[in-house]
Amino acid sequence: MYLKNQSDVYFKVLHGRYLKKVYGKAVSLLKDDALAEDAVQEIFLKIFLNLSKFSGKSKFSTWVYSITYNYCIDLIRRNKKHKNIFTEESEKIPDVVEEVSDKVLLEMEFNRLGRVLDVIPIDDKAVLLMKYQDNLGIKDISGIINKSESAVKMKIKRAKAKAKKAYSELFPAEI
Amino acid sequence: MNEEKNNFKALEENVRVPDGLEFKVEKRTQGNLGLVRMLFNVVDLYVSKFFDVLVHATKDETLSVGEKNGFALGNSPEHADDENENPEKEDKKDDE
Repeated sequence: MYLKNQSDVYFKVLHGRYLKKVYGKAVSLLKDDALAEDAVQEIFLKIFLNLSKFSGKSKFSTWVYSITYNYCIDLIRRNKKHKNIFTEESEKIPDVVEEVSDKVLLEMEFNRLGRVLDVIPIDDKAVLLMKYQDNLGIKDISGIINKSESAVKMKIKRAKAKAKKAYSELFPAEI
Repeated sequence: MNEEKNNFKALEENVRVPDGLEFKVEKRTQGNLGLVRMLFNVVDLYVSKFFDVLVHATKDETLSVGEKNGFALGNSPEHADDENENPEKEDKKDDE
C-alpha cells in the first residue's frame, strides 16, 4: 500500500509492524540499548529510502530482516573486537561438529537461551536468530551473510553445537 | 522444527521497545536536507572567501608595485613625464 500511495500513514503502519522485531534484533546483536535505538532509526531510514527497490522476489519481512542484520553486522564489524565476523577465517576451523537436534535448542528455557546467545560468537548468534526466530530459509540466510548455502548449513550446525556447549558450561548438569 | 515450542520466539516476544522510539519521516529527511544545505553553505563561504582573498592579494600586489616606484595608483612615470612636458609645450606656444 505504501509503495502505491507513498503516504506516511502506510509507512507508519509498516513501522509499527516491524519496530519490535527490528529493535529486538538490534539490541540482541549490539548488546547496547542506546546503540540499538540509533540503529533502529537508521534501519527504518534505509527501509524508507529503499522501498522502491524492493522487488517482491522475497517476503517483505525477509527484506526487512536482511537490512536489519546487514546494518548491525556492519556496525559490529567497525568495532575492532569483531573484525572477523562472517569472514573466511572464522569458517576455516577444521573441527568435528556434534549434531545437535533443533529440539534441544528450541526448548531451552528462554532466559537461559538468552544468556547462551549472549556468550556465543555474534555471527553464530545471528545465524541462529535468522533460522529459529525469523524462520528464514538457508537460501535467504546465504543471501544475507553472502555465503554459499553449504557454508550456511555448516555455520548453523557449528552454532548449535557452540550453543549447547555454552549451555552445559553455564548450567552444568542440566543438559 | 517444533512449532509448538520455540523459545527463540519467546525471546522476541519479551523484547520491550522503549517509549518514544518513533520514526519521524519528515524530521529525518528534513534533517538530511538541512545537513546538505549547511555543508553547501560552508563550501560556498570558503569559495567566496577564497576569491575575496585572491582579489585582495592581487590588488595589494598592484599597490605595492606602485608604491615601490613612488607613484600612486594611476599615476605612472609616463604620466608624470607627460605632466612635465606639457608645461614646456604650453610655454613654447605662448612664446610663438
